[in-house]
Amino acid sequence: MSTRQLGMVIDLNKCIGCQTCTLACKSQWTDRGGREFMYWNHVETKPGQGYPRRWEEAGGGWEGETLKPGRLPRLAEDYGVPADFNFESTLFQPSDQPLRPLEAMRWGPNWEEDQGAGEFPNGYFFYLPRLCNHCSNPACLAACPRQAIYKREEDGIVLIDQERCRGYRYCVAACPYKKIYFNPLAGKSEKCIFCYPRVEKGIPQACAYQCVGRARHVAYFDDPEGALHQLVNVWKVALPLHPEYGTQPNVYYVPPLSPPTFAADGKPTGAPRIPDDYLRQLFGPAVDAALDVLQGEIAKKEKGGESALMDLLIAYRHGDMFRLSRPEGGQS
Amino acid sequence: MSRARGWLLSKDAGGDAGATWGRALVWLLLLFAAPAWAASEWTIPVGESAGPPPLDPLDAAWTGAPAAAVPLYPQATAPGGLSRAYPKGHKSPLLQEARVLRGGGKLALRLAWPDATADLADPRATDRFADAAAVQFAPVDATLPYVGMGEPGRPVRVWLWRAGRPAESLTAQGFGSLARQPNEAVEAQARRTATGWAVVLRGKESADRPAAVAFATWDGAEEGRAGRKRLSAWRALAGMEPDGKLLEEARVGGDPARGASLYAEHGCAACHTAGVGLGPNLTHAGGIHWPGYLRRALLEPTAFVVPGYAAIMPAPPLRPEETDDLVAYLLTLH
Ligand code: SF4
Ligand code: SF4
Repeated sequence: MSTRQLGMVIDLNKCIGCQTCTLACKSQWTDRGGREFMYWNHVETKPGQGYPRRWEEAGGGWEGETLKPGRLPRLAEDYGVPADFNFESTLFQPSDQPLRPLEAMRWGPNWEEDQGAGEFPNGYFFYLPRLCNHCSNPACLAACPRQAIYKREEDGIVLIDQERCRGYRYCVAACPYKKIYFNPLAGKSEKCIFCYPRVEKGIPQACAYQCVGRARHVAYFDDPEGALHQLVNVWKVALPLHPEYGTQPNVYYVPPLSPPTFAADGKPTGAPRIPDDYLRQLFGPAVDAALDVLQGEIAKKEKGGESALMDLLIAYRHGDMFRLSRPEGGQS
Repeated sequence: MSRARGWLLSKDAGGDAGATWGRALVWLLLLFAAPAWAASEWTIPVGESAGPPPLDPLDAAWTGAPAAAVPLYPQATAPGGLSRAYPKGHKSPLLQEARVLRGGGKLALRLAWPDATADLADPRATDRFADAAAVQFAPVDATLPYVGMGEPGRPVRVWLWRAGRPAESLTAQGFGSLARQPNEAVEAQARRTATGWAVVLRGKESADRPAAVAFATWDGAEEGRAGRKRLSAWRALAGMEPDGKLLEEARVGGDPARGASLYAEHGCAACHTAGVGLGPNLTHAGGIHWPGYLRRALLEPTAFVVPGYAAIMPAPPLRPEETDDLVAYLLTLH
């Protein structure tokens, strides 16, 4: 545990799956030098196998006090090769060929976009943006035999010291979210840095600041007015992904509501399209209460009443979503 | 109250000497455990070359260099977290041939060992590991550092070759402390042989001449990296240690049979057993430890504690000849 902890809440009812966050991150940090296949932030469609493919079955995390074994994702099969396209022959020469990747692609960060599950008219899906959770009990850190991974006292950001890393990849196997990537060109492991150079200047992470859906809140946990304390501790509507992995994530999600299913006679049933059981698998048993609170507050607002929770989630002013003031005199 | 609402839409739509090594040689080497210690079994000969020794492992000059057969044992101890050492079942030693040449201000080592598959660092793979080999040097000192990457205050120098990557020069003072020495150049050249690898590592013969060397290999096909390796015991570099004190330590006159009963009497196995984990696993103790280290570990057990273990071992009450017997017994453990 660090002295302070910076966290993020992502409202899954507001994420529109536009991948602006993904590209904000990629163009800032991972578009070069062997990182082309990496997405420190990506948005996957749930239900689905995700990115890297079947990460939820790849092991890692904690079993009590013990690290669970995990497996290493493969570049082509599980992440997907960053393919080049036939731009030259299709766009710069007379041609009737379609634009195609030069190498057959087998997977990617949004490979199953909008597929989801269920049958018409009761199909369903939702978007799940994922990044390193800057966990309070990081399995990656515990697994490194070189103490190359550290958690910063001032904000709890988890970083890999590139000078110490020797590419052993015990961290990659140990992270149950598979949010550490091995850079095969550099021979070292790399991960989301929570945009610490921005955060130190009081500027929100690129993924959060660029989010067009106003879905991402950033604050320190010890800030009583901050969205993290409000949504996680006070309203209890923001939950960690797969809390059973035991790493104590600091990225939280407001779980998704969904429209009703239709019965055979075409009438809405009142049961949600996204099965409660599925959401419990992702967010744990606390998801029921969280959805009930959301539902109740929405109802209040619909009747013209007041809801501080809804006002916070709506985020009337973009700037209010980020509370990054640091004691050392960073901007607020 | 129904939860069914929100904004979501429905889904509508080459030949090497290594080839001839046989099991017989392994057993011959295991006979080291006999109480009469020939100094040569703890040394490695050093050949002289007129100019700098050749970097190419297939250069004819290497054929004339004296060779030593060095058994490498799977590392059984690795600290903390995930199990990083070899899983059970990886027991048999791997036999490496080592040749050393010095000349023209350079020191070079040629290592050859069996490895069925060539695993190279692959810029297009995230899940594969490269074969590797390392030479570890101990400085001239009264006491050799712990063979597993040295110990605090007793650093080792390391030359590392990883298939498909430039060779590196490093230092270490214990597990997890490996650090690059960017100013010390080391070169390597590797060749595939009929049975595995032949690699030459060559660097400057530094002013602080090494007294002893130890070897390690990693097999990429076994996900070898960090502590998942095979390692040898220290070997004194013949003629490079000025006063011969090291070799004095290697002479052990004890009786392994008496040592075995002492081991039982003192209940050593209560801690030093795989699975118990209170003390280091001694399965390969005789294969990877210098006799002087074993004596030091018995006389001053807390002077150096293998990382990951608590300093709980009391110095066993032993008469000097009993210490020798116990060391002789531990040296039989392979
Ligand atoms: S999400 Fe994974 S990489 Fe990030 S801190 Fe947690 S365990 Fe480490
Ligand atoms: S930018 Fe915001 S709305 Fe768009 S995918 Fe990312 S989290 Fe969702």
